[in-house]
Amino acid sequence: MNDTILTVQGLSKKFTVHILDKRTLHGCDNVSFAMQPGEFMGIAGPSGSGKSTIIKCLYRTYLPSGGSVWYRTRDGREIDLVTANEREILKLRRSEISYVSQFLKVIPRVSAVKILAEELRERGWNTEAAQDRSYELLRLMNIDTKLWDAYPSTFSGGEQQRINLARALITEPRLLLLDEPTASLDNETKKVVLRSLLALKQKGTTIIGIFHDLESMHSLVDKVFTMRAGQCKSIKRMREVV
Amino acid sequence: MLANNPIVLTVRGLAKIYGPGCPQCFIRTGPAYDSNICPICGTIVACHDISFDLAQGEILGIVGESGSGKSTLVRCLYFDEEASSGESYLAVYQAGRVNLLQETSQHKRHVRNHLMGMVYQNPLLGIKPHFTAGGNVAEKLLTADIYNFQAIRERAANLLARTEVPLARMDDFPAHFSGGMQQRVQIAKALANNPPLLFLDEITTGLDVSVQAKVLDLVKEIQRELGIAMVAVSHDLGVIRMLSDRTAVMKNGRMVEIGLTDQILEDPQHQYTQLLVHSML
Repeated sequence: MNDTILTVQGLSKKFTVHILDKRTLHGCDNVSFAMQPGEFMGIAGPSGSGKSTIIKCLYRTYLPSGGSVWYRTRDGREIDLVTANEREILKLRRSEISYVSQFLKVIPRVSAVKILAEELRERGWNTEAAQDRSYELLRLMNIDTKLWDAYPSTFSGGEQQRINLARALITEPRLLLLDEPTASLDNETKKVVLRSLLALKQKGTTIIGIFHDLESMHSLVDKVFTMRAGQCKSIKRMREVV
Repeated sequence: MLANNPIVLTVRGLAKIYGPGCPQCFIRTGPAYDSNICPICGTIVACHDISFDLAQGEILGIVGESGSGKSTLVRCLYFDEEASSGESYLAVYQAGRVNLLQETSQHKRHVRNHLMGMVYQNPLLGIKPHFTAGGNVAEKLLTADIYNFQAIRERAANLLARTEVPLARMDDFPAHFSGGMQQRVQIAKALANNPPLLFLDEITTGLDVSVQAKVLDLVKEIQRELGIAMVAVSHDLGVIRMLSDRTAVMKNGRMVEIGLTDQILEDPQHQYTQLLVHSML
């Protein structure tokens, strides 16, 4: 148990909405779980039950209201993602923790291949190697070669989503957070995406994901965390689910 | 890249007032009063109690409505305006032990010429329209004590190429350039002395949408390749989202919130930040 990569204890998120007379909305409440390296957990539950809240708290897009999230870094340090300073979080996002949503947010009029290559150059790759690796990923993600030098804002939803995934995969994260990564994909592409997630898992990447369709989730995950009204309803290993 | 990057700039308790000032100025202004004008003496509190750190290679966004004090803040840090009080330390100047805001104007000029760059919203504030494009870059190099003609010429050509100003136009006057191209000349000039710190004041505001994207891309490339720390002021949350790692929100001369940019946009804490974010189109 000592090599647990992520230990979430009593994680809570409340939103204070000033416009609604400081009304408090509950995102999630007292959520706890642990992840081993290479483990894949799916989060299930009805919409509004707090699935995305958990993912966003782990990535610190949301400031958690309570609890702790101990993460063990590549160099063996234990960091509480709830209280870590912002630069530590930025550093982890660049090197170890990736987040993929359904939405692609990039500078307009930058080509698909450049978006990916820049991610690598930011991490010290030289221009040529970065470009080659980007082409490789675009090919892997089944992006038509005609689109490589085009701007992603002109892409279909599914293509944008694959650029998003490629961007997260490019850095080979140790912890990958997925918020409906297959939501707008056709079946063929979905298979490609699921296959690359599986390959990542086999390489030891720890993955936590929300999936829009349970079938693809069940084909991948080791365990399922089910939410109801912001709280944990159950955590089941896969063989108990099926 | 940010890894354990050292802090480049430290700002503590910076204030700037316009007017006589009285003991009530800071107490009776700010977001709680929705005003930055002192009701007793009429003094305008443009900035008060501004503190933050900036790491090497980091872009800090500063957002807020017009009149919130964001431009005043960078102008004080660049010595365009004299701060009323507060401290500002640059790691590369006197090992970060000397408060720049209290230096003599001679020293301030030296710091500004050698260690800082500024890009204004209006390109004509930063460049001289009747000096050639190359001459504008050369001017900044001369103030940074580089006098070799050949070296200046090469560096200017290099920077203009970097900011995608056609070399054929190096000896033309920016007065005859489009707004977007003037802005790129201004950026080239700001980078000329290879500063560890760059201020960007609404650099995309007056530009065509099609040119905005180019300028943003250029700024990101400069960050990646040169590792320059930047303070970027903008009222446009879209620009801030593309550009900055961390973001500070200003209102009535105060910094009401500072955090990771995605956190500010998706989980704003302060009442004003929530209003700002929820007003986004």
